[in-house]
Amino acid sequence: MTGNLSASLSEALGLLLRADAELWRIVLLSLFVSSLAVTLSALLALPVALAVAWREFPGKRIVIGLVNSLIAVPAVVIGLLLYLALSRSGPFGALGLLFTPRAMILAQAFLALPLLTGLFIAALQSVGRRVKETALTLGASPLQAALTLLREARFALLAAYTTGFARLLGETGMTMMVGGNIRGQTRVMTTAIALETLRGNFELGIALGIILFTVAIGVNIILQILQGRAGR
Amino acid sequence: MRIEVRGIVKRFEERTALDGVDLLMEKPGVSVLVGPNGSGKTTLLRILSLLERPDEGRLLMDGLPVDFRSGHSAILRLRRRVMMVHAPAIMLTGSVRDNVEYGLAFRGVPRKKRMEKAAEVMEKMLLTGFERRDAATLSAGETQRVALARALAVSPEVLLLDEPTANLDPLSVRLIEETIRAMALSGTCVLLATHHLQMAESLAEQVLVMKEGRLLGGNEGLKGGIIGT
Repeated sequence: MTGNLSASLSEALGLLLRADAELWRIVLLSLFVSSLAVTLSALLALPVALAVAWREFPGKRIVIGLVNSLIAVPAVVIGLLLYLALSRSGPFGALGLLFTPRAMILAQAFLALPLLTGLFIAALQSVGRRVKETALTLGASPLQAALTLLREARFALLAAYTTGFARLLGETGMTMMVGGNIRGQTRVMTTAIALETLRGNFELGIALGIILFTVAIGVNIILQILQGRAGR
Repeated sequence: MRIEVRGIVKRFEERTALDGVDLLMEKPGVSVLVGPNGSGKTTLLRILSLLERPDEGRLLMDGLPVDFRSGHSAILRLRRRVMMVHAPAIMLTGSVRDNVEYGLAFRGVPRKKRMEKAAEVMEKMLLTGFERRDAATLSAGETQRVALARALAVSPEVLLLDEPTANLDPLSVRLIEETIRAMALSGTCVLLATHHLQMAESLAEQVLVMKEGRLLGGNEGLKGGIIGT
């Protein structure tokens, strides 16, 4: 077993050093899908978070509670609903999105939406009412005050964005359901690791695991730096 | 600018912060608002700076009632004539000069004029040499001086100050007092809330005493010992 592991590890390092085409195609697709999904989600979440954080209104706690509850929805449930919607007999079946990277982006964007909305609201509220009021008393229009609030919260917002990206990059089940894990088309790092491990082809799994681990550590370092700046 | 407050009431859940306040500010000069903590001073300043809506009563500016439900542009026009300085003041991201220029930038003043005005008011507030310093690294006294420089830069018709000298060093206190006096002399209507009796006596042309959300009025209130700590 130890011999198998060391042979697999050595083969994995070989794949990395040889810049194996399939391996890097999988890595690039993973980064492409998750970064596009988190950006799409952030574009939707930011105005919602700003609207919620901007002022006090009846039911604000309920809205925040609802957003936080949606974060707990399992990814596979989102995958299942999206699969049903995009399958040939589903309401959006005619779009032909199932088992394409676009379906994976859509699913990941849905998954990240409540998480980013919740984190963005917290980020904007952490900056506080006083920043908004300082801008308003300085003569800012509502738009200028909103932009000031976003600028003051930028590190906390970027930290939330990075958290969302890391969450999506590590997602497996839902991505496999709507992407289909098709070689050369929709296979990403997590789904490839799961498949190759089941097949007993550990070398590709280990190589991808090393990359995934490195990206996760890199993202975590960025997150720590951003959180440090946000807390200053 | 003539500001008239008529029977303003403001409630926060179960608590009544302002309970039928009447006030008239029409001449340039310094009015000082004194009273114990929780007497409603800050709430009154927040309503006058249009940050808070009263539940009842009317606020009139230059004889016209302020409609808090009116469009943003109408409120914005009024808000740009009134400046509120909080304590401790919040510094926005950027240098000291950036902070002094924010109010002018929001009003669309060109960069060259902004820089000239900023240099002028920073000199008045003894902030020359601080231009490039990160505003987040300032001491409490320096922060408050920058906050007042921001106000000076936009030449407000009405200046509202909430505890402007709380926890400051004597030099900053003196400088802030002198600046307030100079602004009043140059035609600004100043209303400041403070616990400092000495400050109230040395600056005020009119002392307004607040207690439990009501204005008692009159300089006699100052000597009546109702001011909290």
